[in-house]
Amino acid sequence: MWIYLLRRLLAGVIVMLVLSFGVFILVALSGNPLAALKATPGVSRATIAAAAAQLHLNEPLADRYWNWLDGLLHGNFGSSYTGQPVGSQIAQRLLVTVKLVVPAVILSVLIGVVVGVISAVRQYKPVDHVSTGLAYLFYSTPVFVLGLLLKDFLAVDVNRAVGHTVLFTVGQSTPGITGTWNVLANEVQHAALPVITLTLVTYATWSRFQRAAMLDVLNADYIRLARAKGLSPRRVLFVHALRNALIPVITVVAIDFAALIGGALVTEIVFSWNGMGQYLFNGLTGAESPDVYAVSGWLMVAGTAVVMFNILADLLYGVLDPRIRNA
Amino acid sequence: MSPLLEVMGLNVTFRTRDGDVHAVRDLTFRLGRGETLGIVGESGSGKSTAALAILGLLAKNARVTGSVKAAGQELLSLRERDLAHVRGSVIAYVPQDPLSSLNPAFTVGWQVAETIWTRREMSKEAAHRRAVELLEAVGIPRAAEQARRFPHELSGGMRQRVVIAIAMANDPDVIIADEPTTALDVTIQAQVLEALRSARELTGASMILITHDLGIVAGLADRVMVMYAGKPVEAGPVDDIFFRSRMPYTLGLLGSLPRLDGVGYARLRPIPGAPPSLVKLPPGCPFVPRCPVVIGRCAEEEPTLRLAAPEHSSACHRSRELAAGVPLFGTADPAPPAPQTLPAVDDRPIIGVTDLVKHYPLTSGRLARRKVGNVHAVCGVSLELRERETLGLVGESGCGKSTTARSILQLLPATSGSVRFGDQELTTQTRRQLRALRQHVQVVFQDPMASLDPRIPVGEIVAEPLRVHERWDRRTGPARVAELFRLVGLNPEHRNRYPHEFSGGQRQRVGIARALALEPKVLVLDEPVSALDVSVQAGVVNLLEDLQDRLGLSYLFIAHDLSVIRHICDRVAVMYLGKLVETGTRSQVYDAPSHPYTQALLSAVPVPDPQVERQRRRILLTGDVPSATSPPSGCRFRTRCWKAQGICATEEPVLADRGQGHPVACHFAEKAAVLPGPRR
Repeated sequence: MWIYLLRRLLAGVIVMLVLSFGVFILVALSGNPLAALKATPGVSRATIAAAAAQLHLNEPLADRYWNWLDGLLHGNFGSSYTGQPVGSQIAQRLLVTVKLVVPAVILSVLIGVVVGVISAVRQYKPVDHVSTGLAYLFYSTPVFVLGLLLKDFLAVDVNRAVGHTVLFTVGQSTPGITGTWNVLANEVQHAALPVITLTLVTYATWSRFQRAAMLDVLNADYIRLARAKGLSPRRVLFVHALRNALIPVITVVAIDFAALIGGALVTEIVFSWNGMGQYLFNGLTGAESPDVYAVSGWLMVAGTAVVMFNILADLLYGVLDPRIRNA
Repeated sequence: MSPLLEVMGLNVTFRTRDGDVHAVRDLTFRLGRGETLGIVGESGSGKSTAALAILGLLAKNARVTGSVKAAGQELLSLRERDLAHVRGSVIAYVPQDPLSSLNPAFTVGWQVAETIWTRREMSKEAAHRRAVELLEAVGIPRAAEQARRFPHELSGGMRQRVVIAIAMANDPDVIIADEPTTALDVTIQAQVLEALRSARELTGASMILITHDLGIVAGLADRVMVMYAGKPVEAGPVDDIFFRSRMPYTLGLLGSLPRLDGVGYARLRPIPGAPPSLVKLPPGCPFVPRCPVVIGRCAEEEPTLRLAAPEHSSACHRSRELAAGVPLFGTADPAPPAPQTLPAVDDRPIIGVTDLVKHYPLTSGRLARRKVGNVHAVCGVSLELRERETLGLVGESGCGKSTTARSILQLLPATSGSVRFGDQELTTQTRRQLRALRQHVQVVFQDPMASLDPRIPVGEIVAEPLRVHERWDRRTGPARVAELFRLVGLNPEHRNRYPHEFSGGQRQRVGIARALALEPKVLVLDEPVSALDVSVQAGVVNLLEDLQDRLGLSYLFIAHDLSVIRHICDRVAVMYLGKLVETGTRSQVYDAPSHPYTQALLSAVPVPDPQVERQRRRILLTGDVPSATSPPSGCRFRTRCWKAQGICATEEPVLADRGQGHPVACHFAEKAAVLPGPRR
């Protein structure tokens, strides 16, 4: 067990090394951060050379990667081209994304499991058709459309009905508010819409997974035997069926969650949240892009999340399914 | 007093895209206290569906009408919640496949205990203690320890016992066992049937035993009901059904069985054709197309189950005449005319195998595969197959018989040993040389649905070997394919159909035609009839016998069914855990079995004769077959053998004649008559 975990972690480290090297090189070669500076009339060669030196652009690529990696191993993510420390920037961004993603994932799991189970138990009944239709609707609607619709209809109507702003449509919080409860309430008001948006998109897929897994299990012979044993319908459903039907869903949730740590880019942009997604986006398209240090820093955090949650998903699978445990 | 279980006019219809499937039609029977009713039928006869309908366990697309009363209470109108109180405590159920029927996420002890504490005023601890007792009662050794295991960690026989323990848990009045031993080996089957017997005794329950195996019914049932095309066609006391049947289908079924105890090896009498589709049943008796004694009335009016003798009813317009003995199925499948003159038999073996060994490496580890051991599938097997001879290789699953076959065919590279075809050593041939030699040794697999490409018309499947070996001629090829079709009893006009359009028996005939396309000298038949229903199996067995006579073929016939082997084989080799334990002619092995394993095998096979079954004494082996990864030292059978002594663990007995007249690999080999003598 521990050897297995150690081996998986080691493999994860190797994956991250290869990935960071590849991304570092590709990003560095994919554009010139000084293009804008060069295009500006009246900028002297010396200025450009100084800027290049400051950004280490004059050094060989391998050396730059090595220096970056060396810093990373000493806990230093380096500075972005705009001069800010990548480490603390990402920490801030990560906090923002977590505030958005964690509530959305919790809600999505709850809604997805409940809807999926009901759909499966009532297969081809009206409830199933409605939930299937909604799931496809939410899944196929582009996130920015969904976000804008919520802003324009839900937020505006609610705010008008109440008489003051209940649902904020932009940003993570209103500056200048004091008092723990006020701050918390304000943050919830800001988070409501983006969380709802992300939840609708996410629950839609998960409920389909849950429905399929549940249908699979409900048709299994052991459910028939559980009924033949004389167990109550409720016990058959929740103890025997759900226990097994959750296994594949949990894996999907763990892996999707890891991907969301890297940022829910569209949602963040629609609601002007400065999360991980926007950080990557800015690093690739901002003023001095491509910003190798920002992108590589982002990659280390997002990639680690993916690797860790993949391992977690596998471990959970082993815990939940005894057939995998000893294999 | 009302009967324990009363089923009246039960009908089950499934709605499908192809139309309504009438799976059970007009099923009526009563089950008295302490009685065992055997329900017999081939696949698709509706016997399992009936069981599930009684318990209210059918899928949602099933429409169930009629009446099912348990102790006077109507069950069909009960809601699921109320039915739950009936299930398990009034009627318990033993399902067919114990692996898929046990929840993979919970230990087996928990699953037995759950049945108890959810239904009774009993603490979980007390329920668990009771569960261990139940597991002991059905013959699970070290039950307390086994109770902590998960289903996948137990063997098939052990799992089946767990399921029986679950059925016993709430002291039911009726136990419905649906093919409880179908997936099991014969020695394990004997153990599980014993467990079922003790379950019946301990709970005092009545039993409905559903099976396709007439031998099991003969040994366990008091009364028998035969089903065909969803309907009961005959019902009565077990002796009446076996000895005084009044229904052509039952008679046909009994006649088509190869017997372990028969006199001589008379040709089987198959029932022609295949069971009807249940979607659009024509009016009249569904057995008409296969029945040898049809009269005009049969096609117009479907006979209902009527009393033909006291307590004995049958659904046949001619049941009264049958009692007087109308000749049936006498020469329904005549042997073909005498073969053309074949060349004289060569005395040298056509296939010779010496010390064949096949090990599979066992690996572990997820990132780097490491070899951690070997599965010793075949360990030093030596065989000889002579011209125009049928050699039977028999043994239970996992004994290495299929691996042996595949190694002989060079489909698997042997680890060591020699395989010869005539004078040529096969193990050292190059690929190209082997390909040429393959023309002479062909194979027929067990599952024709899996071994025939579903997207190729059967005519092409049969022609393909000719093309591969560049023996296809555009002018004569189609005629050759038609000839092959006729040879195996198929209509050449069906050559453009696809495998799924044929019945199981016909598909196996396609497989045989394909194997014969290259005019081979040897056919390796790997369980060629075990996927087929008995009435169809007989036809394929007869075909194989005819082909051997006409074409002078040699057969290596691999099977687990000892009755089929006895019927078709000239010589028999018995295999256990990768080794041969006994070889000899058919009469040597069957009439004077001398290895304890052979004796146990033969004694475990149920015989379709209730009088014989009542008197038989079984040799019950203990435990399961050991793992082939680390087989026992010395004699591999010693862990289950009642004769085992010190020498068995230290010295491996060689396969040699020890005064029995044929080779036996046992230090204490001794002839014993295990099979009942020929009756009548």
